[in-house]
Amino acid sequence: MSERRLFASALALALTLHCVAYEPGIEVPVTVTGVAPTLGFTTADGDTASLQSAMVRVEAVELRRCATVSWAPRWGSTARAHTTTDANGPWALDLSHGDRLAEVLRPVPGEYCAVVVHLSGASFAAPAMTLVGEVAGEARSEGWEQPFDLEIPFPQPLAFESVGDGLEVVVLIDQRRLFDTEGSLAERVAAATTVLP
Amino acid sequence: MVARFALVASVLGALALDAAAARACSTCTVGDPTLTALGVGQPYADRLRLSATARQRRETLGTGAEATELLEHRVELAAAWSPSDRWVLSVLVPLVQQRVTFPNLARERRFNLGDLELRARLVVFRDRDLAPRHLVSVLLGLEVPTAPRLRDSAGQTPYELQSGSGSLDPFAGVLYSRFAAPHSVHLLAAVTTPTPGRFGVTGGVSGRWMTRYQWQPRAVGLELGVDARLDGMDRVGGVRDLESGGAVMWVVGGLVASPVTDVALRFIAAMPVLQSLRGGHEEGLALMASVTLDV
Repeated sequence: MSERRLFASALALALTLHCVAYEPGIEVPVTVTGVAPTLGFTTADGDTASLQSAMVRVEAVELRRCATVSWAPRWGSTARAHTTTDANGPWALDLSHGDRLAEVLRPVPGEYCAVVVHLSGASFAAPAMTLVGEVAGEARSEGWEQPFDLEIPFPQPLAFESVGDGLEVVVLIDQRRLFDTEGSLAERVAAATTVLP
Repeated sequence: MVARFALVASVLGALALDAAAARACSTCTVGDPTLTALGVGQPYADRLRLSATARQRRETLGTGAEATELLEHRVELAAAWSPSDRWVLSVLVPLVQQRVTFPNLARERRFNLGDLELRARLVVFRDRDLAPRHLVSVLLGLEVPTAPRLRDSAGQTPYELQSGSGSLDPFAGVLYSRFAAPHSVHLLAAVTTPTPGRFGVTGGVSGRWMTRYQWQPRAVGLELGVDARLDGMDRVGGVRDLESGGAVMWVVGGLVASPVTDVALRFIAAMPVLQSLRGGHEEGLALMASVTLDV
């Protein structure tokens, strides 16, 4: 075989080959959800209540490293759902209708002390949170315009050191408890939120 | 896909049609025994050179624990043909193997075709026909986006980690070569102006500079040089990406040898000595080995 034919053969091989192999690293599935939808429920005061909508608008979800809990810049050393694809946020979730957000975060190795849900309606030209319903026969409609970071600490730090250390994190916003406490809608959403690592 | 096969067919056809016998001592034809890299040699009519080059480089994107590490191996198959003693037409086909380690310890290995490069070189000045001492050439070229778009396995593959630019990238340059055996010097300045590509990113204008000195008293020689690159900012959706572009300069050293007639070997190491790349980009040591064959 001449040099040219050998070269041509190598070139033909080069132009047809293409393969990719991916080995997942540390992955943490994060879900933000309300409780199962109900037609009606009873508040802590014993009033009958119902919800037409309980909207939360989420810009991003992140795991917050323990070392950066207090003074980290908002988009600091964190593991965010946002990457180069456009498949991620923002999300608009109607908790009263069972909407949920499910993303996989890919944190760098380290200890994480909290999950942070960044609420903002900027991408939708809408408030960060809105609540429409009825309590004790009285219509209720309210909203929270400003961006709001819903930071929920883990009961104990989660350590991710190697591949396979991922642990599912569920952020549960119980929309039935939004009328149970006093304060702004943002404060009441924070009070009604728990995390299940 | 059709265009890709047409390109393949045309390249293979051009190469396979003629299986001429090897000539003896092709560099004797130009009256200078200097061993040159593909593309910078002295052209003469119907000279055909083939080369295979293996390269390794490292690059880091980001800093600290959030850095993404890239280890890349490339094999570049190239052919350069001189239809006359003024023109050199060349095609370069890179095969790219990359290993990417993401901040979350995920790993991706890819093997695919890179961006094909077409180049034309016109000698615009030659001080004498045989054994010229001074050559000035103009280079025109085009990088064709033959590299496949690497699909995101986990939403982690940014534009910088693609194997190709995804765009037609024309470039132009000027090459000056000084031959004074056993010494030779090559100076190259080139500018690449990327066009909008399929990734939604338009690469920044890139300027490159190459300075090479070669001392070749016998069949083995030394090569020293300084390379530099100055990149403008990319544009993403028409907006400048402030995390892209910058400048880097390498010091280059290596060996060139000719074990048998018409075969040239080169081994080169390029160490980045000055870096000012934005976005936490950092170039690492680059190694290169090539074999060039005159046929």
